Amino acid sequence: MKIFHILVLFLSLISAAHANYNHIKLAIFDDPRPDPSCNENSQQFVNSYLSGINTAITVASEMGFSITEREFFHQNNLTSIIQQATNAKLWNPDIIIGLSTSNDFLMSKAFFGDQVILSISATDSAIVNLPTGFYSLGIPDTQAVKTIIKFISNHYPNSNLFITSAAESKESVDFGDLLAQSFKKQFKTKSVIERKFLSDDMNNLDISKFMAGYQKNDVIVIMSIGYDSAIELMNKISANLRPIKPIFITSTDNWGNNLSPKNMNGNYDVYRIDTLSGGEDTKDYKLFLDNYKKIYHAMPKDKISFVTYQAVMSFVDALKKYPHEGISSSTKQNLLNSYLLALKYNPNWYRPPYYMVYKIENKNEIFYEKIH
Amino acid sequence: MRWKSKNNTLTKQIKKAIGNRILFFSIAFMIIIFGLTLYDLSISFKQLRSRIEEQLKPIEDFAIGQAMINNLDTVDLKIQNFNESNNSSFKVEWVRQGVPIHKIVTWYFPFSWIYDYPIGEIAGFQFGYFKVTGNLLSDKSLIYDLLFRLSLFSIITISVICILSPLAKKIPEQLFIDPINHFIDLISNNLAHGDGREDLNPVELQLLERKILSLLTSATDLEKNKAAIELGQLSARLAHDVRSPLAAMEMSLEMLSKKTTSDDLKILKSGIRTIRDIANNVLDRHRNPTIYLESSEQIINTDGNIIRHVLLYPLIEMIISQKKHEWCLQPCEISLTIDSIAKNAWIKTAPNEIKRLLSNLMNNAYDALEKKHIGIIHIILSINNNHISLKLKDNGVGIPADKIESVLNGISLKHFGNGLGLSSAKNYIETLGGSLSISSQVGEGTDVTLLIPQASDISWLPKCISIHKSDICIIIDDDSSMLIYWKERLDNIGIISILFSTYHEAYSWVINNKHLLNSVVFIVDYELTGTDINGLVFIDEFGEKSNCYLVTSYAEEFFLQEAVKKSKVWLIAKSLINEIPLQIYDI
Repeated sequence: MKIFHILVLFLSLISAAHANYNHIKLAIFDDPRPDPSCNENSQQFVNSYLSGINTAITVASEMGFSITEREFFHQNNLTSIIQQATNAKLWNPDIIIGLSTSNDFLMSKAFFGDQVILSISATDSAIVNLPTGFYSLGIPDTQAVKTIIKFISNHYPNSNLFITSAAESKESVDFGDLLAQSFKKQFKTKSVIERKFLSDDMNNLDISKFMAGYQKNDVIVIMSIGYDSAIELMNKISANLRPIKPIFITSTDNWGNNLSPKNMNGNYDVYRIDTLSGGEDTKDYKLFLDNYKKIYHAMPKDKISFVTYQAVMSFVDALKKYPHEGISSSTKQNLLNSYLLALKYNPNWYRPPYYMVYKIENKNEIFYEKIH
Repeated sequence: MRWKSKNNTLTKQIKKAIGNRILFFSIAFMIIIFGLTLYDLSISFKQLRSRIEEQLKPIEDFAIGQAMINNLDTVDLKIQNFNESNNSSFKVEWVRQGVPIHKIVTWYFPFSWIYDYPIGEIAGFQFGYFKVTGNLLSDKSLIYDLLFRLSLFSIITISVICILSPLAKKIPEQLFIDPINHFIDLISNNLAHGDGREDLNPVELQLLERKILSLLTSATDLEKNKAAIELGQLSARLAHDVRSPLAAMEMSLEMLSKKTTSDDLKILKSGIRTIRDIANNVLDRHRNPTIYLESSEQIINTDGNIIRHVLLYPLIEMIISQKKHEWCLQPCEISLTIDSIAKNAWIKTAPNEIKRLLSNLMNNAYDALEKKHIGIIHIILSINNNHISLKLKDNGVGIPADKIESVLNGISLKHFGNGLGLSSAKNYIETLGGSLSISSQVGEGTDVTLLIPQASDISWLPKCISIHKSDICIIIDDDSSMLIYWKERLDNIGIISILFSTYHEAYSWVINNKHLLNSVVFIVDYELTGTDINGLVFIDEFGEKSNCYLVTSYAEEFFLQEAVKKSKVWLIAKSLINEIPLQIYDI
């Protein structure tokens, strides 16, 4: 009889732990705004952002995970970020996703130091220095640098490099520095010039001074916060270099969209390299699409739906495939343990499989090639 | 002439009052402008600070954001861009470590300012502060405002120094002084001569003049306080009391001088005269305090303007005492010769007028003395055909014969005072029915002779003290020397006298001897020490009026003359008791 009671108590504890383990509080902390370069409705974009998460929650539910989600969307200023970060912490989520820019992701260390944080697209090389609970689904820029050098060496083997970075973007600055170092290391005879600009002060930019040292046929790399500011800078540079037709490469992801941008004028060639717009040929995308259509009875309007879907599924799948052995004190810890196990087996867990390259010709964005 | 000295005083006081007010309000205005300038500066600095904070707030957020992601170089680029932009009128520098020192916008000589904009602390991170510097000259609105205030301040300062300050010292007479003087002259003339305009109410004018004089007295007599008043009253009391024994001593000396001639008597007489001068001065100061407010500037007291019977002899003594005091630094010899009849000579006038007249004549005589220490002013008072003859002789420079007429017509001779004095005196004496004449020899001196009609219709003035040979004489006086004096005189003629030093004692005697009242002669001192009632009240209560003689030092006071006239009591001036004979009758 005594042994029976002990057995009942043990099973009850396991059951309670399992129940707790299957219920997840998910906070969405982000600033989802469509890039101004595209004619897209803001609310439509937010809906797309959340529909991906909703799809993932539905799929997770079928997998036995109950997810409660709450949005903590902030505006593009420090006060709003601090306010929403405080609100998010007070809600005490098990995991926070979003933080789409490297700046937000790096800054979040100050607010969410003890949380499990997933960025949907941060790529700065500096994120490797963040605590163990911080992980980004974006491919690190070390890989992007290699991809761009590969692209240049393939298509413009004789060109020098002229790198421009948005100074306020840590990701852009670090990317520019890394690209310059790697390029110099690989092509010792070629020159590299680096310039930094402030997106908000673009109107006051002395473009002649900024472009000093540029030589014809140099490939100009534009590292900016958004596609829109990249286009604005390209317009200015091309106007300054006229009649030279400059070559630009930019790695702005445009939230995975490959819509033709507006505001583009001038005479230049542009290659845009991103990771978010690809992956449509993967099993994950097929599963997403099936479930999305099942829920919304329509095709996704923005690629961001798949990006946010993947972010949620990354930890759901980690819990499913790499359940933590033993009883943990909290769901948060279980999530972290499972995620770390997943990364142990696959360091690029749920990251996009390749880069997509688009060429913009006559103001139209056209798929150019994939780079693995 | 008679208002000239007073007008000078008024002019000075009015100028001083107006000048002080102009200066006060000018300085107050300057202080207000200065305060407003400082207030404007403070507001401008506050507005500047608000502007700085408004412009730096985005940069602060930017800096915090970049600092939190360890992208510090970008902040410097942002600040560099900000400093280079055309809109910023100030320069910013990021101090990464430390705390703000200049927490408010602080001015630095000559045209700089500095302000430390603190950067907020986020999640335990500290980001230092922005050191903001600027140039005052770049803020045009502030400079214009400051220039305007400073210009206004300068203009007012210059106005005060160059215009108002001299103006305060020299108030335009035509604008301020003359109308006031004219007004006061009008009042004075109306009161003194009764020839004012019919539409001016004399009572109102008198009240108005009293008010003006009261204000002037208040304005100038700053030193007067309660203690001084009490001291003055005590002095007056002493002066009054000392005059009675002096009179008794003088009379005794007179009697003694008939029996023997000795130099010692002359010394005693001289000493008594000096003490009387002092007593006269003290008493006169108490009765006419305004006369002494400014030396040689006479201002009348109001009671002295009322026309009444005036005894000329003590009045002359009083003026002589005043002048001796006034000229004590450069004294001259002043002598008075008077015949015994003239001592008891009364005239009808306003005492202030005659005092002023005599004072001016003495001033003229004094002014005419080239060497004061050998100068002599001799005054001779006598009776001449029912007229009192008053002669002032001096051994001064004299007046040329051809100038005498001019002087009498008001034309001034520099060495002979203001001609208006003589002219005015002549006019006044003529209004009394008298005359003024001048005889003079250049280098030898001048004689000014006044002939004034003697008052003859004084109902209360006894020619003698009539006593029946069986009468008892009751003497009431708080001065024992006076009691002794009366007793000796009465004893000499065989009259029984009963002496009292208080009304209370006399009252008791009267109550007990009412049956004797018909054969009693009362000689009563008007004012006794230590009692509220006076001799007139006492006489009115008990005395048979025709046998009552009131003895007083206030015989010339208008109210007393009116009172005794109403009570039908005889009035004897204390200074003249020796001149009043005692007459015995047995009918």
